[in-house]
Amino acid sequence: MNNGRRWDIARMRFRSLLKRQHVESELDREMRYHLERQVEENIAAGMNAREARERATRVFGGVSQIGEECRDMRQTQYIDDFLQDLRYAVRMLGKSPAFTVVIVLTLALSIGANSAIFSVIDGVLLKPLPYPQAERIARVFYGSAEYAKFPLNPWDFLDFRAKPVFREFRDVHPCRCAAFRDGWRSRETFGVSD
Amino acid sequence: MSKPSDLIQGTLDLLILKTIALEPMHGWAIAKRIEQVSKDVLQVTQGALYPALHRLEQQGWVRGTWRESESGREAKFYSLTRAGRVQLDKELEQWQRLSSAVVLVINAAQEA
Repeated sequence: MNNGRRWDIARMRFRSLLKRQHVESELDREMRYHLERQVEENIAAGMNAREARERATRVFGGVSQIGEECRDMRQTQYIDDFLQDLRYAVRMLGKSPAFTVVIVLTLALSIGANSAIFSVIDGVLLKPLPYPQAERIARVFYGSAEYAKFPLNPWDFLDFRAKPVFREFRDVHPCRCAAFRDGWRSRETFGVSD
Repeated sequence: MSKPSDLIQGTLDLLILKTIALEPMHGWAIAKRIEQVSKDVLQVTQGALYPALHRLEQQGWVRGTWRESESGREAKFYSLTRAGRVQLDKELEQWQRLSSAVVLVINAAQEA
């Protein structure tokens, strides 16, 4: 398809959509011209004026039907129909406010809940932590047969760091995360003896 | 007398394109010309003609301009665009193929 034709098609679509009145009246004028020529031909064939016009109109068939078919050909009736449906929907919603309120609330709640849950998941699970080398950050817990799993407090952390086995600990954050120097050591158990 | 619905679908497009290939014409003249040239075998009603013209215009194959007709009134004259000429060649070729295929089948059936 060359560019000239593409341009023609775009121009026609644009015209049928935005200058519908113009296109319709043009079609009307076109068909009226056709009808008049038919009448003239009938008169030339020997009919009187009234008969000629009646015959021509009969041959012409439904003008509105032809208009409808031409509208189909313009292929913009989908957009027209859609707009009409939209107007209809708005009118019907306006007629039953209670129903409308229920629907709007349902949609608002579900959209709100969805986006709230998603933003939590996005922050907690999907986005990496906002630190350089985030993959090296770990949480450290106490864990033993006697005590329940329990997070380390900063003072314990400082004590632990003093011991050779934890020399890789570098820093502590108020959130009780500890940064390792060489990579991730999760689930590794450090045997600590005082 | 053949109604447009009796025409093989798409044939009307071919007839219109061919008719206005010589000179720009308005709808009435196109219908009359097809009638005359086909010796009144093909009658194109408005109900078929104007939707077809509309479609061809939407496809970018013909272009309509309003000017004064031979009867002194304004009429919409349709002319072929360059893309329309290409399309006419394509449709002619297609028609040639189709009609010769039909002839082949008919002749074979008569021989049998």
